[in-house]
Amino acid sequence: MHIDARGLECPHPVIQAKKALHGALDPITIAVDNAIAVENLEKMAGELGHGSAARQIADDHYEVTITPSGPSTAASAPAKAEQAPALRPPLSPEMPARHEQNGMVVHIGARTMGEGDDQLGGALMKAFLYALTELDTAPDHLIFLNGGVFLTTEGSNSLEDLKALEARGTRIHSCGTCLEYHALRDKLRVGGVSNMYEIAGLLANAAKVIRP
Amino acid sequence: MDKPLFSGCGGCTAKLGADMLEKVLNGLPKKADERLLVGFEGQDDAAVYRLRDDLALIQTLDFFPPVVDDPYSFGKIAAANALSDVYAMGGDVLLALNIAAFDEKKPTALLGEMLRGGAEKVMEAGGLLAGGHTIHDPVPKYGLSVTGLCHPEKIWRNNTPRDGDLLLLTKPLGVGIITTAQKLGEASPGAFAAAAQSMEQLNRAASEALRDFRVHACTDVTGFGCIGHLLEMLGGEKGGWAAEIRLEQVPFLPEADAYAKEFFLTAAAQRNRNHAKGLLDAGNASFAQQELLFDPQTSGGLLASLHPEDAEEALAALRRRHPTAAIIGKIKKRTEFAISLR
Repeated sequence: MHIDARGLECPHPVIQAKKALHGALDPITIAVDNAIAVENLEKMAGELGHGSAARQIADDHYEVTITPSGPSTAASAPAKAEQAPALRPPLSPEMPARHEQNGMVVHIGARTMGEGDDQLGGALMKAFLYALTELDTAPDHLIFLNGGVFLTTEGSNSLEDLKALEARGTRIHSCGTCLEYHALRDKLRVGGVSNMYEIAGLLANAAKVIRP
Repeated sequence: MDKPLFSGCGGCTAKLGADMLEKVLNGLPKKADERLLVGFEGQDDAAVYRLRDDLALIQTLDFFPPVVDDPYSFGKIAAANALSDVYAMGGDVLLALNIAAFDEKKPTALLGEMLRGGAEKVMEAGGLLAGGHTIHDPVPKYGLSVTGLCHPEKIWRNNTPRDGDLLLLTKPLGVGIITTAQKLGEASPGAFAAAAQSMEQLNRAASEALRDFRVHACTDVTGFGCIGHLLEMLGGEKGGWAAEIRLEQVPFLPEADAYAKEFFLTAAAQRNRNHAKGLLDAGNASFAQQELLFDPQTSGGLLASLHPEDAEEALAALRRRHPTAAIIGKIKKRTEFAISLR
């Protein structure tokens, strides 16, 4: 994967590289226009345990290739992850509890909203996700679990709304176990694959959790 | 969506690197005058000139592009930052002049807000805002040229610590990383508010509180980060002083540690790191702790080197207005490294 971050000031190149590395298995190459950015990229790669190599191509053109090492920490785990959460490696061993760090988190555990009638429930959920796009402040995170993963995958009629939220900075997470269970892993169309450890962390450190 | 006018790579991340500056400044013509008590040699950005045996003039200036989106807050921060140099020398503020740049196509109300913030801070500093100069520029900038007064024998230099001194830091570190995270929309409102409030705070109360004690050296922590300014205090690359810093004592702004772990790194912090190459023994300091110690501060606190017997009492006096002030380390004679982190 290649990222052209020339013309961007720190920390943009580092942040873009960090995001691209999340869940990446192949090396990524980032182009920058100054030596300090190269140093910051190599510093980040080293800190995350990845290999990196840099080369200068021209006066204001450098390229840093970062090779992810080891399995991605955000990869979905098979069903037994829920049985033994203590055995999973933490995302970052030193990360302190970021109290209320995650702002507003919306937990969507089904593709319907409310109980009584599923057809009505489906329409309500679509309207709800659309309404989220109209809020003054977009939610910080959306978590899709169980039946909810049908909303982030091919065939969902809320994909446009979810993409609009993503464009405003909302992070969209679909539970990996749930995608596997419903055989939807390669039909994910918006956001990323998450796992119960990350989801638990998001919920625990949220200022506000909404369950429609 | 229009990019907000008041956002960008501002604050003390806008400063040119120390190495580059050193080379340029060494090449300038100079005139010796024994009344110039502090000039280029100490790498100070304030000049001190003896007018009489009991009166010295302090002249300093600082300006930069916005570090926060709100113009009023930016005005306060830029002014507090410029005024700080007088306080770091143990002086009082007398006069200030505005230095401003503004895009004439933008609403003048924004310029007004910026200058209002600055005017309030000058007044809070006990000084007189006597005018200034504004030019057109697509990128807004603001700061002050400040005149202060001090007794020549009571000036605090920035590079005269003594063996056994204790180091006090009056404001927490991390504004560079937090404002960087804010630019990317990743800072929590609480963390950003704490950072803005810290930057808006004058160093006046801290300076006045410290005057009752035996301060041997003092500087303010700005663009070169805590380590950079401490290195200046220790005499730089070829200096004879060393400092041992106790990591758990160093105050950091809330969540700054977490943002450092998320790699909201600035180019300025990396330049500061390069400048300290070979002079720092990082010990067991974590990546985040190191980044925060290199993090360029805008309108940071005072870093003072005090007689060890005065440090605790001085700290108690400081904590009334600066609750996070702390004793962060001690001064020794240099044997190998200039700064050791423990």
